[in-house]
Formats: sequence, structure tokens, C-alpha cells
Amino acid sequence: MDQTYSITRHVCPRNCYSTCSILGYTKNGHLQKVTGDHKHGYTKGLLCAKGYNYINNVYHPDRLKYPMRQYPRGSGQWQRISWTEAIDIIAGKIIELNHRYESNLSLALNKYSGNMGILHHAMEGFFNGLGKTSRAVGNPCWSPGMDAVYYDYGEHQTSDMQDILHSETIILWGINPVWTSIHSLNYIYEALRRGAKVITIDPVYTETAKKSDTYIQIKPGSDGALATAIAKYILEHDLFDREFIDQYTVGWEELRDYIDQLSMEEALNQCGQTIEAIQFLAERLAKHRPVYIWMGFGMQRHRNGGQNIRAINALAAMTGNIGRQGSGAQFGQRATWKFTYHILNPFPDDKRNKAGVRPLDINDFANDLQKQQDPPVKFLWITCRNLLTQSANVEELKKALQTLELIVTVEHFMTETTQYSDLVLPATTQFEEWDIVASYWHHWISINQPAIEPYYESKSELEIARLLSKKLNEYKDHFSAFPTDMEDEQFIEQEFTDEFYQALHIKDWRELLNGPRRVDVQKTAWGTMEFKTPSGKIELFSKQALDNQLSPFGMGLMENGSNPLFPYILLLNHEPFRINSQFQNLTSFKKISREPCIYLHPLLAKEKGIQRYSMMKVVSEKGEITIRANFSTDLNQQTLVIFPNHPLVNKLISFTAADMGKVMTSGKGNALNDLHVNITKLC
Amino acid sequence: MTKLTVIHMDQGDRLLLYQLFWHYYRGDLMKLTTIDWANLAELLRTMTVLCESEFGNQAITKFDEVSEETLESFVFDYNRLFVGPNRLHASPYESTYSNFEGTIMQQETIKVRNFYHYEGLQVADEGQYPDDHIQYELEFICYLLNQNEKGPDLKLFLENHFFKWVDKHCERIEEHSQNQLTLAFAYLLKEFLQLEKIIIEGGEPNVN
Ligand code: SF4
Repeated sequence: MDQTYSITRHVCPRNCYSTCSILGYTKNGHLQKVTGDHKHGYTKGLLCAKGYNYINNVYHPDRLKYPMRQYPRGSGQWQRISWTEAIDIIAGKIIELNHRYESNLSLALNKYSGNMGILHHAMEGFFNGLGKTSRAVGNPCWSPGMDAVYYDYGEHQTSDMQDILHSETIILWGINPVWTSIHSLNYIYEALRRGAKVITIDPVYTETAKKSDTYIQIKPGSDGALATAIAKYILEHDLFDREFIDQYTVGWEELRDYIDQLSMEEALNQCGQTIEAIQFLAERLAKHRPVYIWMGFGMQRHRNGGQNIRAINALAAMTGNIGRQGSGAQFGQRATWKFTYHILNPFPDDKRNKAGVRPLDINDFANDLQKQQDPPVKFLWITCRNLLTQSANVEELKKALQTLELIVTVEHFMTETTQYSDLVLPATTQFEEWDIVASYWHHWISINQPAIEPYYESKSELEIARLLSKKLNEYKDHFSAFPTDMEDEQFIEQEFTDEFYQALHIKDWRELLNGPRRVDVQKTAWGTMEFKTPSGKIELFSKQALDNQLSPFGMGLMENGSNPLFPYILLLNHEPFRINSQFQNLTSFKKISREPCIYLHPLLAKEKGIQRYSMMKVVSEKGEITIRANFSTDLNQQTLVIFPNHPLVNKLISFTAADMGKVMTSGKGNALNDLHVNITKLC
Repeated sequence: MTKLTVIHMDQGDRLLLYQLFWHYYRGDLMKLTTIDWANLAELLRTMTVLCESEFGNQAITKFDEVSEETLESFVFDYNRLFVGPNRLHASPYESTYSNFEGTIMQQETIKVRNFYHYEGLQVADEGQYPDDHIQYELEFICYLLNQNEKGPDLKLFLENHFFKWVDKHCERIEEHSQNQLTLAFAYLLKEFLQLEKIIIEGGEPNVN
């Protein structure tokens, strides 16, 4: 027996700011422990509680072990089948539908961010390789903000977190890193030690707010109104940075005239602040620079979500807090994702069978599934997501799924979605497969190599795509263009270019096995003051936005969206131990939060006669749920919070289009945090 | 308390039963017909000590009475209990019963693996399938039982591993089974375990 550990490199591929590099310690084919990777310049050898628990995830007794078939769908009668049978069933259906409709449009893929590895694009590549197919497009998470950043700066950059050490003021605007981004805390604390002041702006008095120097409790969704009030104050008190504005922005005069007409009183009313709070923030922005603003994702999940981000961007610009060390309005970045994405593009050689996508809006999937009837979707492949716990209009979705003939889900565990599937295919984890992962926040790229054999009969998505492609081509030459003979490593290799290698200061991707590498991008976002907007400057007035029927300005007040029937706002906030429905089933986490509950202020509860821990009713325009009440004085009396890790909350949600998202993600975001509800005690 | 003369099963019967369970947990018996099950019942009836025990007898009767309907739902119930894809109602892994988190492939599994290694054995595709799945433990027991000189090792393995959790496993089957065959196997295994404990530990049988 070998007594030594072999150490392998992995990446946590979850939709999370940190994208941690992980070291796996394996002895005799058994993964014994995981630690962070000290060579990772951002996470510096640390993981979060979820990451340290990966052993329990990998070796969870409930992990899917074999391909299973459920017949009839939803019956709970599961039969174990072999991979050969599974691939035969799937390929058979694809071919049958191809004959029936003389195209592959009845095949649909719904994939999201459950695994953000590059090789996890294999199924998209496989679908692309079939010619024109149907596809869930859009993004439930960050699309309004992505468009906003694009309109203002032309591309997406963030600063290295070390940059924050030069800040005098740090504004954590709608972000709760203590829960959702713990690796950033070391940097924030160090900045504090060096004298920076931390201000948290959030509708919830979060754990982060509790650790900050100042907390501003804002009304949900009124971030743009707050920014506008500050901007107005800055204008009125001549606190803006004239030089910066002249040199690096366009549209200042127009914006200025526009803000002039807006009412300060209305702005204050909308965001629920006093003029003293506005003065404080304005002076911090203008007199205590550099100011580093970190914008969270929640504020852009509103009808005016993109505008909220644009307003903060404009505020940073008018105070000269962009592109200078220690400053910036940080959201998320794509600058380090320099992959070729060849895995996505194995387009069919057959010219008659042109690649293409018939889009189904990921945020309005239930309706789009039913709308598209020529031909109807009959086959759905679900991967990297738990469709039924993370979708709007969930009852309609269930109905729409009933019209499908084959639903295949690739998963690690049984979920609400697999219960609605015909076939469930067991997937490997990041400890059993190759991959490569970049971050949307920091600038490090990490490799993922296999440490252990695939658990039972699980297979990587890439392997599944290859098997399926091979089977289809046995039926008809060139039916599928997805490569069947390329090894995993070759797929990785083709994602790199010489330019990318240069940016990573390596000559071969295998050097990543020695440790993650930083992509050589600017340490301070827009440090060179080059902007990829049409004007080459920060666009305070965006003609592109105007052309897309949006306000050209980043600032503005909200339209009245209140509804007297549903006077409260329900926020869907993240919790520290789960990422939506992921990490649900870890025994120790289950002990921490046993059952779904809703948080409300005790005074609101008193007004409504709701007892703590009693069951209460929550009603939205869409539907109603019964859920356990829990109290929190961290909220105001008009706001409630649920952690969206269970399917219950979906009953309340429909698709409410946010203002932006179409440009960057092909679909508008869902205004998930514009969830207006009413509450009653359960009689 | 009634004083019973304990009739031990002979080595051949013991081996046969361990093998039967081994095949059962490997999933080899899913396609048997009603006649096959009746034949099995007949074979088990030759083992007096089993027939005379409460649960042994019930199990044998159930095998005898297997209907087509029972066979139809057998595979689903078997999967529900031991295979998945849903949460297993009667996990077939030792570590589920011994690990704090219920996580498999932990120290508990490794101890079982070490035992196999000590005997010069290894699960095929080690690392892919947890070593403490009941089918491997049963196969290992059959291997030891087949060789007289391995008696002490067998005793050690049974006492430190198999006996420690299989009772609980049977309880969970009894609690969750929705099929006469899975229930029959739980009864048979439970009874057999009692008899084995008597042989190995020299204890008294459970008599009320
Ligand atoms: S969930 Fe986030 S912080 Fe935790 S290990 Fe994964 S990437 Fe790191």
C-alpha cells in the first residue's frame, strides 16, 4: 500500500466570486482532504465552508451513481440502465425527432452556471454541432449590470483586490462579502488598518454592514435614486472633478441639465435618506478619494436594475473615482476570459445544416417553451442547473415540461428537476475530471485535474458529448460535428492562444499544474483610461442606450412601481453555506438551517399578528406560499428576506423584465428583487 | 426463557447464504421468475434452523408466494432502498451507519479497504466504488469462509464490521420496504445475522 499522498490541483467551479484553487490530497485512489492553494494570489490558500466540505460532497451517499431511467416520468419508479442503453435512448430520440421535423429545432438545451468550467461548455458545443437547435439564452444573474457597464465603459473590467489597499473610502454597495465573498475580507480589513473607512449601503443590515464604519439602510431598488441624490448634492456644492470629467467622459453637460431638473426631495423620498446622509456620502466621494465602490448583483435584479448600476458608475466618474489606483466602480469582469471557446464551435460541415440557435429566454423559459411551435420542443437537455428551483413561472414550467418526449438531466444529486426527468445521468465532480476555470471577479486562471476515478459510473459532460456524438454518427455520417476522438487534454490545449500564454507568462497550459496564474491585465480597472465605448470615453450620455429605447443617462429617479395590494418587497438574498440550491444536502449544513423560512421585522409581525416560528402566508401576484416566520431586526418594516435555496419561493415569481441585458446576454434580466408581496398570519 | 438446543448451520449452508446475499446485493437476482423464487424457498427449507426461526420462516414463505406483481415492483423498490437515484432509504454502505456526516469513503471505508488489502485483496476499480458496500463485504466474507485457516480473520471482520451495521441496515429496510421480496431478504438477513453471531461469538440466540 502506498503511504504517500498525491497532490492534485482543482478549482471550485461554482458561481462564486472567489473561484478558489483547491489542492486535493489522494492516497490509494481515495481523496482524503482538500485545502486551499497558497499559490493562488487572490484566495491565498483559503476556501470557504462549502469548499472545505467538498469531501462530503464527493463521497455523499446520495450522489448519483448510475444512469437511471424513470418511467413514467414523475412516478418515482427508477430503473438502473447502462450507459450504452442511455446513449441509445437519447440518440434514438434525436434521430426520430430529426426525421419527424426534418430539423433539429425540437431539441433544446438549458444550461446555466452550476459549473463554470470551460470544458463544461461541451453540451453547448454538442448542440452547436447538430446545426440549428433550440437554446435557453439570457442570464438570470447579472445581465442588467453587464449591459450597464457596457454602455458606460464599453467592456468589463475589475481591479485587483490589492488595489483597495490604496483606497481612502470603500463603499460596499449592495454586497455582503462576509457571507458571499469571504476572500475579499482580508483585503478590506487590511485597507481598514491602513485608515480606509468602510461604508455599507444595503436594504439589509448585513453581517458586512455590522462590521463597517457606516451603514446606510436603503429602500430596495432605490440605488439609482440614492446615486442621483448624491450627484445632485455634488453638483449643487461644486464637488465634482471637472478635470476628470472633461478629459475622460462625454455627456456631462446633458447629464448635468438632466439632474438639475430632478427633485432632491423626491430622490430622498425614494431612497429613504436624509440630506445629511447624502452630504456625508457626497463628501466621502469627493473629498476622501480614492473611493472604491463594489456593486453587488442584487440591486440590478430590479426593473431599473441596469439604471442602478449606470447611476453608480456615473457617480464614480463625476467624482474622478475611475481608473485611479484604489478607486473604481467594480461589478464583474470578462477581461481575463481569453479562451478561444473552440469547444463551443464544432460547427457542422454540412452547409445545408447550418449552425444556429432558436432562442428560448432563460428567464421566461416556461412561456417560450410553449410559444415555439414550429416545430415544438420535444427534447430537453438540462445541465449545470436546477431548473425547477431556480425558475420563474414554475407551475407553467411543469406543464410545459409535460409536453416533452424526453428530458435528460445531468447531475450529481437528485433535485426537483431530476424528479421531472426521464433520464438522469451521473456527472463527475471537479475531483474526477479535467477543466480550466476563470473568475468573473479576480484575475487568476486555475487548472482542474482529476485526482480520483469517476465515482461509480459517473462521466464528465465532455465524455457524454463525445459518446453521444459518436453514436449519432454511426447512424449517419456527419450527423454530429462534435469531435469524438479528441482527448480531454486536447480540448484544453485548443482553448489557448499564444497571446493568452503571453498574458499568463507561460508557454504551455500544463504549467498551470504548478499553480494558478494571473492574467496580465491592468491592476486598476481602466488604469490606462482607454474605454471601448463608441466615443472612447466614459459615456454619461449613451447614444447606444438611447438607440435601445433606454434613458441615455446613468442617473434618474424610479417610476412608481408600488402596488397597494402587495405593499412589501421580498428580497431573495444569498446565504453563507449554500449557493442557491447547491450544497443543500450536506448533513452539517442541514443542521444549521433545517427548513425554509422568511425573515421579517418583529414590529411588522406584531402588526400582522404573526408569531415567531409560526406559519404565515405570503402572497404575490403570481401565487402564494405558506412558510415559517422568523424575525430579524436587520430589515426595515417594508422588506422581507428569503434565501432562495428551495422550490417554495418560485411559486411567487414570474418573469418581470429588467431594463437591460439584451446586448451582453441576449435577454433581459429578471427583476427578481422587485417581488411585491403581501403577508398574513395563518388562521 | 425456553432452553433451546442450538443447531448450528453447517459451513456449506453458511457459505450458500452469504453467496445468496452477495448476489442479491450485486443486483444479480433482479430477473428471477416466480418459479426461481419458489425453488429458492425450497432450498432454504432444507435448512432446519432457518425454517424454525420466526423471521427465517416468514422470509421463506414470502419467497414461496412471490407474485408477478411483486416482481414488477421489485426492481423499483430495490433501487429505492439501495441504488438510487433518490436518497437511499437503506444505504448499503457501512460508513453511512458509522460516519458522523454519513459520508462514504471516509476513515470507516478505508478501514474496510485496509482489511481487504491485508488479505491481499482489492476491489476492482478501487476508488470508484466504495469498498464498504455490502456486496464487497459479503464477497470478502465468502472468500474468508472458504478457507479454514482464515477463521480468526473472519471473526475479526465480522465483529468489527459486518455485525456492527447490518442489523441497522435491515431495520431500515423493514421500515421502508414496499415490496415482499426486499422485505423477505431483510428478514432472512436479520435472522441469519443472529445465527452467525451465535456461531462467531458463541452467544445465545434471541428467544422470547
Ligand atoms: S464556493 Fe466560492 S469561496 Fe467557496 S470554495 Fe467555492 S469558489 Fe471558493
